[in-house]
Amino acid sequence: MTDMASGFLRLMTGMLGAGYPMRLYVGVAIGTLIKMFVGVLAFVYPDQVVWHALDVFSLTWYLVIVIPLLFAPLAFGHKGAPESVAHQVKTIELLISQAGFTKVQAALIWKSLIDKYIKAMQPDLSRAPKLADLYKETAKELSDGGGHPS
Amino acid sequence: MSEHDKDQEPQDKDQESKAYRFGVYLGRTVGVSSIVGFFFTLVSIILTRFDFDPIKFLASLVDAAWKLSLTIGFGALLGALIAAFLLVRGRGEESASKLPSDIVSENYFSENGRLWLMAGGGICLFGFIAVAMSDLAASALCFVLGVATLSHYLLTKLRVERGFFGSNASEALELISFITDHANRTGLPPGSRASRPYDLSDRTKTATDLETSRGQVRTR
Repeated sequence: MTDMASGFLRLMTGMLGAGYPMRLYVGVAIGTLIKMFVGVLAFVYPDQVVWHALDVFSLTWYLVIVIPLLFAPLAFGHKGAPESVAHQVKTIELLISQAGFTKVQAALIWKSLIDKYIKAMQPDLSRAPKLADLYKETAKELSDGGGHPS
Repeated sequence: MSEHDKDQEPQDKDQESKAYRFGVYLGRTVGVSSIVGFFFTLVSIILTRFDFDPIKFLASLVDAAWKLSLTIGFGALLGALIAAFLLVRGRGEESASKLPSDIVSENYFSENGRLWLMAGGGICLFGFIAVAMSDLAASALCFVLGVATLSHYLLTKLRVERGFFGSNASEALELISFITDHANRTGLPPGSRASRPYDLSDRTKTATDLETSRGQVRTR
C-alpha cells in the first residue's frame, strides 16, 4: 500500500472519529447508558409521557447526538497543537499547493518541519534538567581538569 | 507419431477452440439473460408490492440505498482492515530509518496504539450490546466505528513502519501536538530520557575509575 493510499484511508478513518479513540468510545458508552436510563425510567414511570416520548427514539439517534458532543471541546478548546502552530501548518499547506510541488517534495517539507520542532524542543540530552545534576556535572568537570561532558 | 496424427492435431485444436468459443458464448448468454431476468423480476416485485405508489417506492428506495451504503462502507472498512493487517504482518523489521521524526512517530504510536485497540474492541462490544437490544442500525453504526478505529490503528502502524507517517499536513500537526503535549506533561520531548550528567563522558572509563571519580565529587 502506497503512501497516498494508506494516507487517504487513514484520513477516512480519522474523519469517522478514530483519531480520538477514547472520545469515540466514551461517546458510544454514554449514548448507550442514556438510552438504557430512559428505557428504565419509561418502564418505572408509565404515567410520565416525557420518558415514553424519549424512549421512542432508537439507540442510533442517541449515539448520533452524543458522540459529536464529546468532540465539541476539540473545536472550542485548546487541546492539541497551539493555535500559532496550526496557523503555520495551514500557511505551509497553502504555499505547497500554490508552488505545485510534487508529493515527495511536499512530504520532505512536512518531515523537515517536524524535525525543526523536535530540534527546537530537544534539550542537550547529556545534561539532566535538574540544577543539582548541573552542579554535579560542573564539579565533575573541575575534578577531571576540564573534561567535557558531552 | 504418424503423419495421420500430425494432420489430426490441428483439427483437434480447431475443434477445441470452437468448443471453447461456444462455451464462452453460452456462458455470456446465460449470464446476461439471468441478469436481465433478475432485474425484470425485481421490478415486477417492486411494482406489484407497492401498487405503483411512487412515494412508497421512493421511500423503499431511500431505505435500501441507506442500508446498501452502510453495508458498502462497512465492507470497505473491513477490506481496509484486512489489507492493512496483511501488509503490516511481517513488515516490522523494515523500520530502518532513524530520522528524528521517525523516532517521534514510533513513540507516538507506542503511546497511543493501545488506546486505539482498546477503544476499537470496546466499541465493537457495544455493537453486540446493540444487537442484544435488537437495534440493528445502532449495532451497524457501532461496528463501523469500531472497525474504523481498528483500521486507524493498523494504518498508523503501517505508515509508521514504512516511514510515511508525518508526510502530510494533518499528520505533521498530529506529531507536533504530540511533541508539545509530551513536553508539557513530562518536561522532556518524546524519545528522550533523563540521563545522568556524566554518563556519556564516563563511557570510556572502567567501573573503578567511575566510583573513584564519584567519590571525589562527593567529598568536594
